[in-house]
Amino acid sequence: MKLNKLMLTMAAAALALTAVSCSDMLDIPQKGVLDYNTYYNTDEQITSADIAMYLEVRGWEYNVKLCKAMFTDDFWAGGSMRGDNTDLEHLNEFTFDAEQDYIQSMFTTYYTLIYKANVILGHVDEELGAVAKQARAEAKVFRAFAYFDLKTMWGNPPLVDHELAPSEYNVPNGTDEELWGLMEQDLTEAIASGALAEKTSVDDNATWRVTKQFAQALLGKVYLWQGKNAEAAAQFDAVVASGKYKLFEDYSGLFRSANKHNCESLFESNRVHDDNNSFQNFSMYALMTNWRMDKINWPADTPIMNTGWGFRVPTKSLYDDFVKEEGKNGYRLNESLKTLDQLQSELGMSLKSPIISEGYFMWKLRILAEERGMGNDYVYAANTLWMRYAEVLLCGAEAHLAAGNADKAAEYVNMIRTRARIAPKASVTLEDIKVEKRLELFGEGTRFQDLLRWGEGAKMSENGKQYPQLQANGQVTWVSCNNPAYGFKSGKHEHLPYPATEIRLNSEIKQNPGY
Amino acid sequence: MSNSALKRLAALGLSLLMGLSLAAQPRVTVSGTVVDDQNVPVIGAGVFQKGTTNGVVTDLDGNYSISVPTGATLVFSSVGFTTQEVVVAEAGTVNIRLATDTEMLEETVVIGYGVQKKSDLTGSISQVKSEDIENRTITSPESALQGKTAGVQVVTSSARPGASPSIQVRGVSSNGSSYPLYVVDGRRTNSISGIDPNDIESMEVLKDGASAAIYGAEAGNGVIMITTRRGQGDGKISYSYQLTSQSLNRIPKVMNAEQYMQYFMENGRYTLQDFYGNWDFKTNTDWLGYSYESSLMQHHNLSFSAGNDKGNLYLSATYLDNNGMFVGDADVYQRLTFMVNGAWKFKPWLDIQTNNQVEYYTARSVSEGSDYGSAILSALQLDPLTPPTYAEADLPEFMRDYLAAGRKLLQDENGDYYAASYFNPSENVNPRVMRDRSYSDSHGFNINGSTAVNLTPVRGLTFTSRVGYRLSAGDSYGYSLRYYINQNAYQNYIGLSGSDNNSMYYQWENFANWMHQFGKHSVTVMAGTSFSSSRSFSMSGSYRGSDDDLGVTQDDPLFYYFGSHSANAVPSVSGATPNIARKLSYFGRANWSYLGKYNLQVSFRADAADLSVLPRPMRWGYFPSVSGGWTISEEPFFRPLKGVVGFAKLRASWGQNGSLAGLGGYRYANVIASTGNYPTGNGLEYILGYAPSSTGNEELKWETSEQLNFGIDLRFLRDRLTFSADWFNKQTKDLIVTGITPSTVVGVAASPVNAGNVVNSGLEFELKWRDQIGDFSYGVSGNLSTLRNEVTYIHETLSDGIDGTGVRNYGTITRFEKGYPAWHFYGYKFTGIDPKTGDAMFEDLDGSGDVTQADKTDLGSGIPKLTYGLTLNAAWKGLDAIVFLTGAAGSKIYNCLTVVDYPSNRLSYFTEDRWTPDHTDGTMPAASASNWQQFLTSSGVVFDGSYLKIKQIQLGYTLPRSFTRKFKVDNLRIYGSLDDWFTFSNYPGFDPEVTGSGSSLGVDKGVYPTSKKVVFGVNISF
Repeated sequence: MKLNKLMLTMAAAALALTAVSCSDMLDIPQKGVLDYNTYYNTDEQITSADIAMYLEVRGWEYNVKLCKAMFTDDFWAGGSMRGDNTDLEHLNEFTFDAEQDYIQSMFTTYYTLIYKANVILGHVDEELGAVAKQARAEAKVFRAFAYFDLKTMWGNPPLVDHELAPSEYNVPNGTDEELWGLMEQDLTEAIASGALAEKTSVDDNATWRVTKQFAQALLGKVYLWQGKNAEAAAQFDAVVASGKYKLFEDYSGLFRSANKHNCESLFESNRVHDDNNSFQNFSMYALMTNWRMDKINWPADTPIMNTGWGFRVPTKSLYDDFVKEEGKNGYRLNESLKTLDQLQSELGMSLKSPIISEGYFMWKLRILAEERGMGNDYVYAANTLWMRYAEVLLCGAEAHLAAGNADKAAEYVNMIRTRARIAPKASVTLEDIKVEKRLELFGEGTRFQDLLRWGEGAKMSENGKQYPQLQANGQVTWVSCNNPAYGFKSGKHEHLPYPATEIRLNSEIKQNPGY
Repeated sequence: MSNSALKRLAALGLSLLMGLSLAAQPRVTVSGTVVDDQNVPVIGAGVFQKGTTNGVVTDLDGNYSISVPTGATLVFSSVGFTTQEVVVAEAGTVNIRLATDTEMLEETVVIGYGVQKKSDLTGSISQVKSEDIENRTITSPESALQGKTAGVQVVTSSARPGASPSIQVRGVSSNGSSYPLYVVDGRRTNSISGIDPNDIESMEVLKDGASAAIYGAEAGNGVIMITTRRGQGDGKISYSYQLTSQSLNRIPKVMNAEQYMQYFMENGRYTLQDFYGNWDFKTNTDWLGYSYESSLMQHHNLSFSAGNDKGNLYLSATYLDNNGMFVGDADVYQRLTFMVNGAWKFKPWLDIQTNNQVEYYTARSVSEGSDYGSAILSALQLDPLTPPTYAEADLPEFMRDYLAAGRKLLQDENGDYYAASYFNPSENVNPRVMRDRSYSDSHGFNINGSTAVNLTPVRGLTFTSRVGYRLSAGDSYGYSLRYYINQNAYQNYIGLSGSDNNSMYYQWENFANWMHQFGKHSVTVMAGTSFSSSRSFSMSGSYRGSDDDLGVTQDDPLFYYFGSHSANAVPSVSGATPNIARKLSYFGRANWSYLGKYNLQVSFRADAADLSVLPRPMRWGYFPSVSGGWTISEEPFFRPLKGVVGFAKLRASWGQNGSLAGLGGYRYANVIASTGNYPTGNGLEYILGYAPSSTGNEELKWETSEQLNFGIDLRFLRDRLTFSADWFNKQTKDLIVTGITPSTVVGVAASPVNAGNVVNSGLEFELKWRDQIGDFSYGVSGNLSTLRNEVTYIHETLSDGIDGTGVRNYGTITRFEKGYPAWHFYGYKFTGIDPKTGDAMFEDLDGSGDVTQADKTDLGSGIPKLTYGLTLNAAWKGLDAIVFLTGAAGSKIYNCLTVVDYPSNRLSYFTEDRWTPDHTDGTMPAASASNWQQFLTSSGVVFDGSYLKIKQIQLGYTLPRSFTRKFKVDNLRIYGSLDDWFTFSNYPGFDPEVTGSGSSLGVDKGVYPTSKKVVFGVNISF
């Protein structure tokens, strides 16, 4: 019996032992992350939070830039044939619904940027010093940058100006006053803070941060869209008056990676060649927008990247506007678009088999082989320009004209025309500015919002009713879709739909009419 | 051996076995009554002349009468009794009293940290025994449960070689992982796929909350206990071999070449000109025929078994080689397993038992299950106008251009080029290109088992200390080739990849069982603790070339290894962060039984999760249960019924279980993680971006299932007929939902939240009849379960539901939504075709005048309302036969096999009766309909998922022992079987049984279907 008792004791001890000794072992620390509650204290931490916003914006190249182009009368949703990318076709032809993937991603990325800005504004104490002040000022600019697109394309998106607690997830649509008010306030405060970067001179191409002038230009746009023309003009004038920007001489060269952060650039996202970290520069943009290279015969030494899906194809109407303004041999036209003939004569290329096109090829934002990441079609190293001086001048011209200052308007427009090597105009009309803006900025993501503001969405009302097939011999045959469902519909397409998932998840939001 | 030769062989064998028969002759008459030990007449007992088929059965009063020759031996038998033999001397009366066969009544069931007599059970536990598993073509233990027990649904999301189905016990109760906990010889695990079904003695499914509660936090989705084989007898060597020929069962119908041409001209995509230029008007490729072939599966099992009252030993080795139906050797699963089970009673107070298993596997597979393209889907979507291959001289011009441009075109074994489709340049390309453009295989081993030391210091008290472990390691290696087929499918270099992982898991459990009897009471108490810990570590890397650089030093498979990468190949490495998870638990259970009539059981378990799973304050979960049983057949008032109803018991139970829905990786934590690096100039100077990766949720807690169960067990007619029925209601609360964004405007991914409640309720019936008439024995067992599943609550931050899976970019098609079954189908209600345009029409539910996203609605669910199984078996002399069928009803299937982004071939179902200008009353959209995408997210592509499958028709013959003894063979059985041969279903896809799982339950995106099988097998033992 002694043995039994001994064993009983041992057993009980073993039981107790497992229980006691193990409970500490449950506290396993997490690797590779930092604690939210104690972050945002050092300059390095604050900068990293700031950089997260730059990274978010850089990701916009693929969907935001591409979508905005698709919504216009400047481009076809191309490809080798219809159905190559039905999503882009839906955007281009206004047959998208609330489930549309690209629109959902756009909406999501804007709010992701807003969240990252809100984190900084909620967590970074400006008393911490200059870095903290700058991060806060930049957060306000980025937040306004996102809201500008949300407001102008969706109308009344929910206003989120702080990190939401779970009880606040169902946010109703924001009002015009709230939304414009927040943008005005954010930009005004950021500009006044003195914390934003500024270029040292017009030749400074090392400043990559958000600048005070970018904030001013953005504020100018915020005013312009509201019809506050005098206030808008003042902001654009301030950018001009800073003397830190001018138009870049070599028109299409201003988009090249060799000329990043050039004198015309107000804000751009930076990319570099780094083969060891190529996916840090991941972007489908180049592949999506480059010419449909498998349908093209190209010489071995072609400067154009030799793969591409050709989904962003210029329209004849754009080309015609160019010809009307500057003739077939215009300098800016030649730096902007190429015809099939020019592809043959200048680049030694020819068309192999049909593609969707009217015979015009994007040249301004061409995709160069040398800017493609090494051995990888999904990496592209050219910067993405989000705002350049030309836009400031054209917006300034419009604001001045509306505010009654026609001379200033002509002056600004003529700066653009001079660089485009066409004759200046003695005076300009709003129509002149509209045309100039289309030619100067097509493909850069301003036209859709402009057309909505000008109430000219009907320009896209024929989109998709038929589409062109460019034959190898240069002839265009038209295929009719013959369905009234296609094209911009007034009363509906003035706004994009809130994503279906948002409607399902947010009980307070009201969908835009027609979706 | 070819498939047809096999079929012939099987047919020959079966017809030979059927041809045997025997006869008998009469003499004197003997009659009498057969009663049991309480003098109750035994109805239907068999009375037979030994060694003949001459026999009768007793009538309702237990009487019989039979003519036999004098000196013959009469055999009296009935299920539940021990058989008696009497030698007949003369005509007259022979009354017999049969003794109860105690062995059967005392059958025990494994219940977790102990066993219990079947008659004492108070919960709902189903059992599958080795005889239900033997000689099947299943390769994973999960499959053994299908159709054999009520309340268990086997969800097959792929039937590729080596794939394991997942199991749902009593419905979908979580929207994360809904899989049960597996306990193999006491070792908790989430995977049992490596166990060879031959090595299983029994599987128990703890279905109700009270039974499962002893496993507390992990038991929310039910518990499946597996007991592997123990050695028995004085030395038995068994070998079994099974040869299976597999081939594609149901072949979905797609358009042929001519129909394709007609369709896409109507569609406007192509003109006749296009076809003149690019089709020879002869080619009509059967891509399915080109993709699948009949293939072989072989299964060997050798085992050694011995045991006595001191101990036992069981050794087994199994080799499984399954080369799947996809053409070539691209889908292969090979597995070698060893099992070593032993036990020894060292002292009267000490015995030790150990179960150990070693598994080595190697696997290759083809792509499947993606609506964006897979080898499975491409065979359905490629146009039949393109031939599989071209000889070099016959290459079409566009492929010549590829070659001229320096593109690499893949070739088959004859040197012919795999054809690129001119008509359908989608990502779904020639299935053999999808097979050949990359190579990857994986290998790995698992060593696992458990060892228990049982101490019995005093009578009635057993203390057990048990260690379970699992050591595993695996690696995968692969390369992707330089190839070109179209703009959507190409690569300009060789890519290499490799990964390596290992993990170690152990658990240590200490528990004591104490049994005590006083008077008419009997009490059992169990208490214990458990600690488990796992660590896994993996690393993977790759090298990638570029346009200008092949990536390897030589273009030869012998150089497709990391060691031969080119100087400029880009490396990438990931992983190498150890993952550690631990769990600590306390548990206890008490049983009280009075006169064997009343049983009451309570249990409790407390579980603590580590920090990677739940925040510290929410770490502990507590899971109580109570259950009771009343054996009314033991009551005096029941006596008169006893002749018919020998046993009757009512059961009731209530219990709580938990689930962590596969949580881990600190997903509740609000932490700052890197978002990439941003270059600040032209050079490679970067600043890292850091941002919160999720909202964080410090309130996250265990998901709790609360289940009520009522059941009845009945045994009739001397236990030949058994019946049990259960009703359950299982409410899962605080459901853990992961991977959701609450509302887009929140701007960041949500951490997991306790977001909803789900109710599952249903009825389960199991009925078994078995009987023996002389040499003929037969049995029928059936089961049927109903299930009602509904999401009853969704957290207010999520409005009323969560989106599940979608199809391409066409939209969401499943939802987890209040008032509907979990992950119900969601889309437009297709109402027919507009006779004017050929467009599909949908119901405008909100009456807005337009069909918008607001008109999407419930379109049914992939969860069957009814599942059933039926097994019939019969044996006569050496012959035996089994027919096993199973089915489901009330489920729907969302068919995603058709896409409209490219001129992809479509299922004939959608094209045969389409609208055309001449056929305006067609029931399917016109080829040119403008709203095909909406149609593909509508009820137009939702089908009835009901099916009935005859899983097994097996005939076997055991050679007479008198004959086999001459060769020292104890038992020799040969058999032939048709498995998964007949399927009754209206579904136009591959296989109604194989669709997605989880949030894709019932969604068919083109997955590897179940094959039909011809089986030949032999079992031999010495």
